[in-house]
Amino acid sequence: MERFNFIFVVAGIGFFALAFVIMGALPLAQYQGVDVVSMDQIATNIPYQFEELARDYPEAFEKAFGTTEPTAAAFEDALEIGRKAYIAEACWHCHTQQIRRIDPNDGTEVGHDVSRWASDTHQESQADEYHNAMNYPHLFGTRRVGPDLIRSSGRHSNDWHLAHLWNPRQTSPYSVMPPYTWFFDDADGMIPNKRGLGLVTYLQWLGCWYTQFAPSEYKDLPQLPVDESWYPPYVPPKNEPTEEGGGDPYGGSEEDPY
Amino acid sequence: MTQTATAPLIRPTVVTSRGETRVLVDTTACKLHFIAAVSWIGVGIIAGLLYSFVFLRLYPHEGVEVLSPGRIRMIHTNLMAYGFLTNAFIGMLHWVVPRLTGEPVLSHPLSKVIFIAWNLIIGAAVWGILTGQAQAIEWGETPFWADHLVVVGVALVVINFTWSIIRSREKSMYVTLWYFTAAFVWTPLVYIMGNYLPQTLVPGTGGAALVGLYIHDLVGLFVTPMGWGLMYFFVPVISRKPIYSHAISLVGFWGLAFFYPLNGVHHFLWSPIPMFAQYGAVISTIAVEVVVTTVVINFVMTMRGEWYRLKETIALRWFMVGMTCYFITCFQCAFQTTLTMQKVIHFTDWVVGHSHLVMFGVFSFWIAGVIEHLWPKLTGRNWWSRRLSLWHFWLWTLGVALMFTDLTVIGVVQGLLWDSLRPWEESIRYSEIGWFIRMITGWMILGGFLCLALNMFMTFMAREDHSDTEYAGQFPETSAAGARA
Ligand code: HEC
Repeated sequence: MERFNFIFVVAGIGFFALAFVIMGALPLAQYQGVDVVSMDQIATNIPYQFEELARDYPEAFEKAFGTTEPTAAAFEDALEIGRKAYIAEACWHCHTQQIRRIDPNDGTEVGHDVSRWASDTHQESQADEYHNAMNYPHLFGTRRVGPDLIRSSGRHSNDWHLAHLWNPRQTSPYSVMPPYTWFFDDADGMIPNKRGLGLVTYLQWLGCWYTQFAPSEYKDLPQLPVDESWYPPYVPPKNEPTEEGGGDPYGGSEEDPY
Repeated sequence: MTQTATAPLIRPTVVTSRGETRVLVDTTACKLHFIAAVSWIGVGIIAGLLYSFVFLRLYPHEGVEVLSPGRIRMIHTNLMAYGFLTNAFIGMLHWVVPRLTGEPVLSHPLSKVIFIAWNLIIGAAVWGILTGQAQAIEWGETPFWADHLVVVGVALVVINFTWSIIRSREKSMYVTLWYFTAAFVWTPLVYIMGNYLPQTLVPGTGGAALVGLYIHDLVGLFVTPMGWGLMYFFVPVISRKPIYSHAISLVGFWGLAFFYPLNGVHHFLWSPIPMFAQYGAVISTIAVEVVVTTVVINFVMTMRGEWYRLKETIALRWFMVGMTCYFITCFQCAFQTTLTMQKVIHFTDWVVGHSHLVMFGVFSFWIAGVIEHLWPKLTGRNWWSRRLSLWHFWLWTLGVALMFTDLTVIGVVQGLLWDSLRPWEESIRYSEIGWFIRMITGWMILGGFLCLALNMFMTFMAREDHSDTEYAGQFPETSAAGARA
């Protein structure tokens, strides 16, 4: 048993192969025959926030993607650039992309991950959410300094994201997230560059598969003047996520709890 | 081992299996790798310390793109793995392997080529990460193009040393060589599996299972066998006692070889990866801890009656403190891998504390012990200052103890706060004190590093030179690694 050949073949190759089969190949076999969603398929459901970006930052958008229209090609381009920036800055070392369904120990049925970030769908992360061209490799993450982002679509507005990227303390006073000023072209953080637009697109895309967007909603809509008095004042309901992210069962976090 | 009587003792020569007369141990390569290792750990420690400032909102380079905190974090982890640990292990292998086999490595010029190539690769990887070309594989963030170079580098290292093992003069292999042999097979397989498959072939959840294997195998199938291999060599040599039990050595090795590769998925518990894999990973993780305990027992029994040596021999202290940390880590593992504990501590600073205890408190300590023991032999000079060695020892030991305790505590705090559904920022505010203490421990570790670097440098520059006297030349190692079967 202590011979070179025996160790080489049995321990080295044999046990490694065994583990690879049980822990790698068998889980893989579960997704056998399920097609990987391609970029083109992804681009059939463009979140309206992308169109909003095209409308709000026409020059920056044209400079970045060579068109003023929020086309499918521009969307794919933006997603890829955004994901690349997300990896380059190691956002995934501070943010996870998986909502775990953990057994109830907080009085809800699904565990705190789902209560926090999936209170609308009550759906923990599913394998098929990751089975697409944007997950080579996956970005599950292993450390959660900031909130989970797999369902970040629509949680904040584009402008919130841009302000937050420029300086997180503007939107979240106690944040430890670093500022990312190089995602902007000017000195005041008003004009995002290609990476900035891409990153916001990416964040608005994550989780948008739970919503169907009409194609090019914005192009056909007439621009109506907004009259604030049309809307009733917004009262944040209890038990629902607040703007800042977390659901707060104790009702509102307006006043500083410290 | 055949040793010609006239050869200078510092560089004993042997007649190799091919009939040439060659120097047995390439001490230059040893020295170069240790110098590189210590330089990289210096950069890595500074990177880690810088990153800890981010959490205190004190980051000094806000707005500088190449020093973006996320990139600095990747520099920290990658330099520790590939710059520090790998260089130090190669240096250690150059010393140990030929001594146990009586046969030099394949080629000493090749060793120098490997040294230069490996460190150029690391330099290139650092540049790649700083310029935003990282790859999203944890512990493999080196840019994808650098991965090809790493594979070639690893292959050369493996060929160079396996040669020596295959052509060994010894009738049977000592424990150390079992571990090294296995690691030489595992490391390239692990690296290729982790860096290529999820990037190119396997998306999403299936890829995550592979990345889990990769993260864990890099620790378990590369770093751990190297670490135990060196322990089995140096502890008997320094304490002048054979290993307590050959049978326990066998249990430890084969237990590790069987169970360790199965562990990986425990990095993604409660994730969409199929539950059978998660349960399997949990069970085999617990099994590993049992196996590991046997190895620790083997060493404790070896040290029986020799503990007084810790007072004089600082190298032995590093080994024993490291081993204690190892036992703590593994004990902790067996509990934290359960699904119940994962509900709370997953994603928190608890895990960060755990990884520092094992990568720093165990393997870096063992390497510190190797350097403490070998540097005088390699340079032919006594340590310049014992006091600095002691400062190094205590700063690192207390530093890692404090860091581990601190991160473990705030890990639990964070986990429970998340669970209570309080606003997210509350978990940040409650962590602040812990993050501050962590910064202090970072300074302690940096201080310890400076002691080490200064001491090594002054020793190297010192006048006295024993390299041609019997002082540095007598290496009892080959005969003292006594438990050879
Ligand atoms: C040092 C760790 C860290 C890094 C690196 C980091 N973040 Fe954050 N992030 C946080 C923290 C902490 C918060 C919560 C406070 C806040 O809103 O700023 C946060 C919040 C967020 C939010 C709001 C989430 C929500 O649900 O309210 C988004 C979006 C976000 N980050 C995106 C990013 C992106 C994109 C990157 C990479 C460019 C990134 N983060 C890098 C720590 C980090």
